[in-house]
Amino acid sequence: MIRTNSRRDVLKLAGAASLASLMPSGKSFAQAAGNVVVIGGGFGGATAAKYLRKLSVNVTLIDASPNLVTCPFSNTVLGGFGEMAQVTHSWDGLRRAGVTVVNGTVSAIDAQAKRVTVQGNTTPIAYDRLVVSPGIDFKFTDAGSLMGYNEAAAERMPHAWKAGTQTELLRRQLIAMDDGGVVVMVIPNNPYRCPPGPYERASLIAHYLKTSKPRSKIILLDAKDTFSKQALFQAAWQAVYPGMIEWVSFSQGGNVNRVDPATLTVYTDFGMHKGNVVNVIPPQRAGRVVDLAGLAGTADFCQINPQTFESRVTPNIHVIGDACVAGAMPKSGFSASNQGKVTATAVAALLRGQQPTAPSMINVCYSLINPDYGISVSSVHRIGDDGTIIAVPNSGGNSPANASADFRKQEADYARGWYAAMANEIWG
Amino acid sequence: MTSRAICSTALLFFALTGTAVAQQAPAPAAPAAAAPAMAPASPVVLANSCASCHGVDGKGFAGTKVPAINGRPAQELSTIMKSFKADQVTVTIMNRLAKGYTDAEIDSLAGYFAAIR
Repeated sequence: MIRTNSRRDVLKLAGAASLASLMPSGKSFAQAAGNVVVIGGGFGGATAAKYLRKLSVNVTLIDASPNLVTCPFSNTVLGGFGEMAQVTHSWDGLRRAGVTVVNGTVSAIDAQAKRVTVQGNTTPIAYDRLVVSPGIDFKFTDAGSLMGYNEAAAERMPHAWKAGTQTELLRRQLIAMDDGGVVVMVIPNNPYRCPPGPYERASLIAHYLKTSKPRSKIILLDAKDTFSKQALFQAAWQAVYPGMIEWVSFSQGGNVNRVDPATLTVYTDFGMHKGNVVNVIPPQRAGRVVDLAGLAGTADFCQINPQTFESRVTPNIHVIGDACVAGAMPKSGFSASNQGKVTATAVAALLRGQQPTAPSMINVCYSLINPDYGISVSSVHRIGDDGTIIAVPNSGGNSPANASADFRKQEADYARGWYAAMANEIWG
Repeated sequence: MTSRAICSTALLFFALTGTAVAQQAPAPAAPAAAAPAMAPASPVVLANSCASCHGVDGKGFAGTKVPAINGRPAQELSTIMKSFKADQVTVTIMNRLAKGYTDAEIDSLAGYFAAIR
């Protein structure tokens, strides 16, 4: 089946006027095992594209943005010691690897005919297999769990949970705030992108405030009672930022259900908080492009076969990264990238009529407390006996409590190495 | 240390692990309905995870403190990983990650990275 279909699609493609533009220049078409289209050039999609090229598969990657700004390390910009340029990556590295990069918005996925339409382009792009890696979108609805928060509100109360202009906006607001001001952060319930991210953000905003506006405070209003690396974060806050960060758990009344951008006020089940700067991280779902093929069904995220990341709903479409439900793997850039590697290997095998091998994946997430204080969480992932993605028992875990300052400094250095090596592997 | 040597090493490993680029027409696909037992994770699949921090082909990345892990004797790499796993040598994250691999997988990873010059 696979073989027949891919031949038919190659013939179909050969008839298309835009064939030349789809072929990576200077690469032999003879080795190609099929055409893969990747939607989204973040950690998941760009890694999948790079690794598919390593396996000599023709790849077209579609992304709506002129470049990629990563959420990982964007908190260093808010902390005042990182630059946007350090978290911004062009598509040049992928192009050098032979990936055809199309800058545009996907307007249709025809899962029957196996082709993708990019807004404004008349000729659809045919695929043998499609990899969808769109990250997250926000659940903006007036009747939703966070009433009043929408795209317009985000201009007053930035989310900065998709990095870029939102990160810059939040940074400008922090700079404009007077000493003694209050920063309110609204943090969602699970699942959401980057479980430790809000708490790293609080830490690095505190770093900036401690340095520049030491009388200021940060209030975290949380829709949960526990969070990632909690003991490590709380010990660090006490040691490094005493009295500056107040965490209000769900049980303590931290659940925000309504916001008023005009007055920078947020309302919880029990009262209200007014901030000078308000950072709202809203509830999330898979990137909306998955709706074009119904990949999430009525759920927020997409069910996949954990061996290949192929959609449980639609054959020949693979969903990776934040948009999928990956068992014990958290929604992180590192997870997405490891999933991209496994998916590329599986897709290349499937295109060649071979059985994919068992996946093995890692997640490593570093968080910075300040430039010299890093903490980490890690896990090794396999398919468990129940067929889901598990964390290998008795492995992984958090940095130790009560580690030396030298240990924390080493982890901060490794955090920088982790980001640089990963970004280079993916977009370099 | 020529790039040709690197290529041939890589090809050797791809050939050994069965993820090589097929030079001929692919074999017919297995019936979609069957759910055959998975082949165990190949050295390449295991090693791909390491590259995220240790750089492409484990060669590190200039300007960072995460060490390169390629081109060292397999025995040495294997011994280091196993001592991390057993907490005989205490470092930062590798004590936790090494525990996620069997000794056989560690040997196979060591062989993989030792062969990349």
